[in-house]
Amino acid sequence: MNNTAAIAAGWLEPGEAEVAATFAGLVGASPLDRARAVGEGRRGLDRTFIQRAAAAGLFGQTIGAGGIARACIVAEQWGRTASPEPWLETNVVIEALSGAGVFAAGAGAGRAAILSDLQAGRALASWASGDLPGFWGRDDGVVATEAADGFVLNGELSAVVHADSVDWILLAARDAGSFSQFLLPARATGVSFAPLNSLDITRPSLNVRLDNVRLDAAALVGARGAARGGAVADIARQVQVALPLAVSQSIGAMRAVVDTAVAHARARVAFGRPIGSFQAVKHMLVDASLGIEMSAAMRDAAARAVAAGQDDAAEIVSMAKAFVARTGIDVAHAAWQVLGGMAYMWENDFHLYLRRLTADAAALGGEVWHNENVVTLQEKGQ
Amino acid sequence: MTMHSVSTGVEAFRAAAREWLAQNLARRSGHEERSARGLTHRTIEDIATQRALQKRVHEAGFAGITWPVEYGGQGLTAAHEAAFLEEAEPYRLPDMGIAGVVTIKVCAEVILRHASEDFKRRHLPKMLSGEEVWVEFFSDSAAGSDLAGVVTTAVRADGQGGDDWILNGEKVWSSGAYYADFGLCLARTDWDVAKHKGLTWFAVATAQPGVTVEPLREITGDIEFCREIFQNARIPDSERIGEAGSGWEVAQTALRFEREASSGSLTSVAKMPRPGPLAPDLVELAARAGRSDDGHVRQLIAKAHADDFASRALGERLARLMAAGHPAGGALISYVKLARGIVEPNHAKAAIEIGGAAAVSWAKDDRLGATFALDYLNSRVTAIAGGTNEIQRNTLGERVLGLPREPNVERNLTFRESQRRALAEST
Repeated sequence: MNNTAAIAAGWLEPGEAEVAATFAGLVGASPLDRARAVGEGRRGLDRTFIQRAAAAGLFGQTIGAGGIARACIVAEQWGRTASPEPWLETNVVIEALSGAGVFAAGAGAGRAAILSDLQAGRALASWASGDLPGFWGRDDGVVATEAADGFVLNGELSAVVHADSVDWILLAARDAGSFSQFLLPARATGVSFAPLNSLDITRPSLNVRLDNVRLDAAALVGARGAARGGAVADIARQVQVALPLAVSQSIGAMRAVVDTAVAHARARVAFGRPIGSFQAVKHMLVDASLGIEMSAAMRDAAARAVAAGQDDAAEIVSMAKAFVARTGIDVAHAAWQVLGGMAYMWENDFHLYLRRLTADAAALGGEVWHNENVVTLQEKGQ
Repeated sequence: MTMHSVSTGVEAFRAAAREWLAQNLARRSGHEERSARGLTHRTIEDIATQRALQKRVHEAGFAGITWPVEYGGQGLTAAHEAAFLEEAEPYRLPDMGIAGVVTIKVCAEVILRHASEDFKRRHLPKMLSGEEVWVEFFSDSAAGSDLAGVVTTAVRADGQGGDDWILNGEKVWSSGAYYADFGLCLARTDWDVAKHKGLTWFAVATAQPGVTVEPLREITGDIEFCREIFQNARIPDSERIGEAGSGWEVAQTALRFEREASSGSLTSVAKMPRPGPLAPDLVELAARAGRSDDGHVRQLIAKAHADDFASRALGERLARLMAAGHPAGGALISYVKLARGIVEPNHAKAAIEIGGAAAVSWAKDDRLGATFALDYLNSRVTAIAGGTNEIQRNTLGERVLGLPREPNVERNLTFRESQRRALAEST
């Protein structure tokens, strides 16, 4: 092994190095302990850890256009350590609550307190992103009806991450001839949970049943029904912020498995040679690392397009998601093959990443949905 | 020849360029005939016209803008060159095909770094003025990816007078050699040292006695690359580039610039690309096949479009990493070449899948239809030429990921002995 290459493998851009150092200080010497604890059902979400992360500026950021590049760097760290916390979901909810015009339209002081709790890690939120009207999934899962001093919600949300461990769930419901978004208190009367068995054991998901759940008018997030483009326009903006972050989490996981597989290929000897000297192994790992760099290049382009409000931003974020969905699984499988029997042991962390990369691919619209979206956007002239 | 002074500001230079271009060059037409990757046959007459045009560009002081004045350049800054290229964008610049690019982007770069002062003054100005077109005499018929294994041999003509060399052997895949004046030739000058130690570079004139250039017909039907046969060709020692035996170090320069010429220099692609229109060839083929609404076809188109964008965005990303001081440095460019070497064949295969019969047969007067087949046949050029995908993977695996090299079966052997053993094993 030559020294330059050893440095190259762990090299970070200056902005990344600063975030990585802060993150390393936060997670300590066993960064996957939290993932294992949640995955093996030994412990729930570690709220103390989340508040420390928030204090370090790594949780609950308000992203906005200016902050998306840094948020992507932070996302890579959460993904690289298979972190179980709903970092992405909480950030998207913060984005939805603090988005331009939305906050003003919402209900003053109560909303400000929620936002401040989310930003400080005192409260957690999830996002019912399995069904997004105008995007993917069902668009009639939950129906809202107007009541005397607010709304009544009925229906079911599918596969909401950490639904029973968070304080708030952002959802879209059929309302007023179109759709509206609501911020649902997870413990409101009429809310019940049906836990699912999930491939990704670090981020369990649950179906959420809503039976005559009464929400006051302040629970409405953003424009109602078809007014001002309605919730679909707000959701579109949330999706544009969420996808570069989601993709960055996958990239972090890809880097973790490829680094592990490369280290294994250097150290493991078979037939009198380190297995990484065999071209069949070496080339598989190079293709995996190429997949990571192409994914990162797509992510960079997506983050920049969203930050600059480019007219092709929706297309680029969809391209990035489709590319990374496919590549994340390919990269995981390459590392799997190189690690061989090692990867089949529960005690090896590899399967946590495999589970996450596979679940990442399916979340927020899979490859097939985003591919079709790219073609449709092009046909419509964006 | 017009000389623009170093003190000429970029904007004054731009204005001079704008005026000269408008008066001397033709504008590109809106719909230029598309030739797949430029690998079409060029006639000697056509090249002669382009040489004359290049001479005028040089005389006007717009060739070799950043090159030193003593080698026929202008000695100006990269900003001057960028200004000229921006102004020249709507015009048809002289085009001598791949050999024209190789002359400037590969051969001249090697000469600038490794040739003697006398050699540089003798050849470089003529390369800029279109008087000398150069090509690569790199691969032997029997040594391509393992370039250091060339057996084309030059020996001192000792006893026959002077310090000339006598060259024998065979080179192949040299693009445009049939209209070129010189080949940058890698030859073995010592069989009794280690493989990488016995190599030397020479300038070989295509028209000299003992050199035969045979144009070859490619799988596309075009005639573009050539085979050269050397039979006791006498090369003056003044045409040697670098020290005798230093050929492998010089080769690193040649290979680096060859890679950049085919993948684009990482320093020149630092702009974030935009996706642009959906893969136009695939969209057209889908329409011809009546499958524009077919879900599977749409998936294939989106995938090809994303892969293409990803390989372009990769160039921008890696340029940024290199500028930020990534320790793997120039080795990173192999990622771009490998990405294209994978993406381009996949794109071509998708075209066949989408178009079906429409992709494999076309009416005699259907020029667009013909380009689909041409693109298909050319789709592995990047995957093979200038270092195959497998060579890029070895470079990246060893220099970026830090994976161990294969055991070297040639270590401690002279080239002669390693060849003898390999032959013994293969029979």
